[in-house]
Amino acid sequence: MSPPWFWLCLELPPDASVREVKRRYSQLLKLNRPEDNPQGFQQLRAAYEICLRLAQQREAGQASAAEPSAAAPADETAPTTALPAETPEQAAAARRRAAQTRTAAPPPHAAAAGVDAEPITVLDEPPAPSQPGPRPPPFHLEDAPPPAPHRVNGDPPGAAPPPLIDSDPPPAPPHPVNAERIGKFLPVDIVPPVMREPAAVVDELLQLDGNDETLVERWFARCPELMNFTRRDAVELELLRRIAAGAQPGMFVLQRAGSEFGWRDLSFPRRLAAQGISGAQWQAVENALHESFAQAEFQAHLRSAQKLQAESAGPKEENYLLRQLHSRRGRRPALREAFSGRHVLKVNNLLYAYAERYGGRALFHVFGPELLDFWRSVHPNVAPNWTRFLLAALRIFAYGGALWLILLVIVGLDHDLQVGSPRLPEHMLTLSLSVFSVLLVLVGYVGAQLAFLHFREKIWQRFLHWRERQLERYVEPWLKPARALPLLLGITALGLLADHLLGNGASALLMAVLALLLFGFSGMISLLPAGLLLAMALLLWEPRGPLWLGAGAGGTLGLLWLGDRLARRKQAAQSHWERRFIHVLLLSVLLCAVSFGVKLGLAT
Amino acid sequence: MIVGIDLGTTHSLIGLWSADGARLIPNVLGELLTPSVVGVTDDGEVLVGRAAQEQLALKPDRTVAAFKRYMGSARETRLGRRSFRPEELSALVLKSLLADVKAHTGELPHEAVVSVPAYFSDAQRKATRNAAQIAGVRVERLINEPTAAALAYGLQEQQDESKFLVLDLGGGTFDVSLLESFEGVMEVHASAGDNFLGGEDFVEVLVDAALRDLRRDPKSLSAATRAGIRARLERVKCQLSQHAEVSVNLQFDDAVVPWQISEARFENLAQTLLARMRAPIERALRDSNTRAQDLDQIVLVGGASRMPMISRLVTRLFGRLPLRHVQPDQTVALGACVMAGMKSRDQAFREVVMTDVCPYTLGIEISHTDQNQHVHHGLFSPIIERNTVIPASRVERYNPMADFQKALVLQVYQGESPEVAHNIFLGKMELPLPPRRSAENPVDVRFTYDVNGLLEVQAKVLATGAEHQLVIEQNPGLLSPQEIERRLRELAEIKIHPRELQGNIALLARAARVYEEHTAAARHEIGVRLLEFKAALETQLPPRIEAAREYLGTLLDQLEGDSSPLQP
Repeated sequence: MSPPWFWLCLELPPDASVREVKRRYSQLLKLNRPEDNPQGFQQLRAAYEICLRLAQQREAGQASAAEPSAAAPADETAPTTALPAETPEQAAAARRRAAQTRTAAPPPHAAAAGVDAEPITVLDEPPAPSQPGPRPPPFHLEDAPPPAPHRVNGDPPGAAPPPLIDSDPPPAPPHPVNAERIGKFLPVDIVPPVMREPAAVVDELLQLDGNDETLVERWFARCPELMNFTRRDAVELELLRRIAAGAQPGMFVLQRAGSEFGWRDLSFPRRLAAQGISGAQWQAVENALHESFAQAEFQAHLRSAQKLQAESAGPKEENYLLRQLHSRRGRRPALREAFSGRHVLKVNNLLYAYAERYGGRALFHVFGPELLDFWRSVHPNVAPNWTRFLLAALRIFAYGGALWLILLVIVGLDHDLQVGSPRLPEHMLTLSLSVFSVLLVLVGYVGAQLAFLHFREKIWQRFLHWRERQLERYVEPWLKPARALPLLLGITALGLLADHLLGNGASALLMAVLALLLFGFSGMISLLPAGLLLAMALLLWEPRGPLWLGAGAGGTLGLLWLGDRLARRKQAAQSHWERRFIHVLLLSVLLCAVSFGVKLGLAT
Repeated sequence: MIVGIDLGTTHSLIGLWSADGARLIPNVLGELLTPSVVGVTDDGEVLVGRAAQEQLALKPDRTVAAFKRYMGSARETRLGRRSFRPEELSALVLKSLLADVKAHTGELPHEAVVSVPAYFSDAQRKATRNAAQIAGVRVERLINEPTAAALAYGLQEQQDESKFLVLDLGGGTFDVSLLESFEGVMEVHASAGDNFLGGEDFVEVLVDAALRDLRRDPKSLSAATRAGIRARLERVKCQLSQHAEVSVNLQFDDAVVPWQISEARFENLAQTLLARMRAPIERALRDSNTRAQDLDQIVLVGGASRMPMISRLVTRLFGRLPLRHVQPDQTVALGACVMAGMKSRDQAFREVVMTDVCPYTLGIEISHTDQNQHVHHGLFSPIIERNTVIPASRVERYNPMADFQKALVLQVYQGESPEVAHNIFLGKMELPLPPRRSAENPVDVRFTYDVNGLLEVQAKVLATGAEHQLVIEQNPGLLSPQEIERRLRELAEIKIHPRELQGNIALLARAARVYEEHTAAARHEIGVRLLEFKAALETQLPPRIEAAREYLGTLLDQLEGDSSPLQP
């Protein structure tokens, strides 16, 4: 399989190191300068970016694979912060030293928490003797052929890319630029500030009064460790670790730290993972942050001097109740807490007022979903559910039980006055059984009431909706003229045929039934009686022959249908001539009925 | 001969690449820095440089400074009887610099490399190019200022492999560039900046503080007074770089009021400006995926970086001491000279290659229909993302909004905001479309951004296969080529004050300014020596003029040097 185009372009094997990739790129770049050969340069650059990324990923993968044992014990402790205790200068100096002397000595760094992390550059180069070997001759770039992108040696692209003799860098070309003319760059002449340890910084932060917004703001604006790009991460990790261990900073501190470090950003977990926090530690941190925020928010709300509800006596008793509820959050309360209906109403009103003032999210975080669900479900105005039923049953049994005890005492006293009746236990038993059965009946009644309510609200409504939908989907389309007229004509033809074949009033009956079904289902309650009447008239009127029957039936049905369509159209129902038409229609129906009645009367 | 020019907001420099390296050319007064100030004398002659700068305090209505901030716009400044566009003002400065080169080497340069802030927009770069064309020199390559500084630094330091950050705080702009240099290759990884943050803003802070302390309403001051106070506080700013506390006499219309300020208080007052410096640095680090620990060096460049508060800020941000050139104002010019040498194929630069990036996102305006069939207009669709290595060529496909649309209007914008209303408009072009449905009528738009910062837009209508390589219509802030020709001719006819006499003019103006700033005893002394100088000028004998000039010059130096530090 031939290697991908980007390795071919750079003429390197796919397992080249970062150093080789960079070196080859620099060689090729001198032949394909951006201003001379833009096309070639663009292709070279694209290949270089891909190869560099692949090589870096490969080396990062190797580095992390080389130290799993070193990293494992670090995982067990609470979020470890591998503090970069080495200063940046030392890191840079170490890299340079490693490049020049080629020894595998680990650079000077403080092993924090026992993690022995070695930087990648050291792994890159195998331990070699400190004396550099014989140098290869420098590449002769003049020998490169002209076409773009130019290659280092003249090999055709298909050949296997030559491996770089990479044991030593080529000798640095003698610098032709006279450095003296340009001048010296010197370090500036000031004293660098002394940076404190992250632990000290976080200590100071936690001691701030979290309720004083200006103070917190000023501290964050002035803290030098937070301005420093290299120290910020360590301070953030330390703060997260303290919060996970249980520290409770004030609300403003948390909010400000959240906006400063970007805790609400989508990239926050990824950033922590890049710094070495494992998945389990991240969960702990996230939970701790949520807890902390909720607590801080709640404390701030409790501190506010205004009462939530206008009708309550004052913020103190509201706070007392809120604190009580808050202390029991996370657990579903026992049923007996909702025994008193008044208490239920009071709690619900208080929670509602809290949500109005501070928002639903704050409510959710401060009190927890179980508690909120419970109190909402026992409210008398809410839809029937099992909790209400059980609560009702509890109340019934509680009151019933109390009543039973009282009755027992009365009966016992009553019997006591009479001398030692042997039927006392029997009485007691009867009494108990009767009371218990009454209670059961009551419970059953309550249950039935709740079930009926549930049925009425949920199931009946659902049926009605379903029926409406079915009518809309299946019956409405058939009432459109394009479909209904042919249908009616067809029914008429069918009736004629049936009448011809069967010869009795069966055809009329058939048509009447069909008409009833059609218009009855569409919910035209208003014209249903008219339809019924007409159907009876058709049945009992002496049919004068199939043609009359057919014409009469078809015509009447058509008129009925037309009238209904017109009546249903909202705008049409307002216009005069259509209303008059409907009146005429109804009048004709009345006339039919009258004639039928007269006929009947005449017949008798 | 190719020269390298640093066309700065407050000062400009010119130099060339010679056998012994970068060499800056002094001007007629013997200084390497020429102030970017243009003024008009009472006779209608144009003054450029130190002479005009001395005139700035006395005749602010006939002098203008910091016109680099107007480049790219059509703002005209009225000086005397004529109004000048910013390109013409820059052209006058360039002409003066070129004349200095001619006087020094005997040859007039035909090509130049001019430095621009990395964060300059397309319009501003084109304006700089136009200014050079009006000045009569060809400019093919514009170099970004931090890249120029990096060239000067990189060639000197000669490290194997290093990543460094260049912070250029000039007179009017702040640029940040993150570079990596290895094996003779210098790569810019990311560029960011703020076009309205520079030394001038720090002077403004001092002016506001002084007026507040002395309870003077800024609107009640005449322009001349204000210019005078500003000039004096500019010097105070420079002195605060070396002394902890400075006292100065400010001259108002009615009185001379003393005022003092300490360096610590200056830093407090400038906190907002310092805070604004953080954002471009963070963006450059983020765009190049570099952590602060991975940087090997931080290099401070630019005259305003002499202020200790800047070094303190950088040290606080990075925890280490940055490097600074011995002469921070010259670094960019030295880099431009290096670039000029590279351009002229000097053999010394065979082993050095530089790649740069485009510091802002380029794209077009589109409308987008979301899932709810709601149409959003005025959205920005990027085609070339910021910090792509240039030259870059990217192509994106778009469809017209409606079926059977007659033409597609491509409006090209530059910026980072998702809405074009907050981005900078570069130009537009219209391409005719065949009558097709929208889905069958895609258009490929290709942006090619070449190494000199020129944007080329190519649009291909796929339905017909027609390619339109249309030139973007000129931005209203820029000049058309005919306009440039016209102004070139006009400028050639303007009377520019004779170069040789500029030194005398400068001295006279300086004497007049110092005379106004001081009181009785000093004034008497200045008056006497000024008369002697004028008498020497009348004789027109160069040795006598020289002697009188020196005599007057030393007195003025003494008097100016006195307006300074309190005893600690």
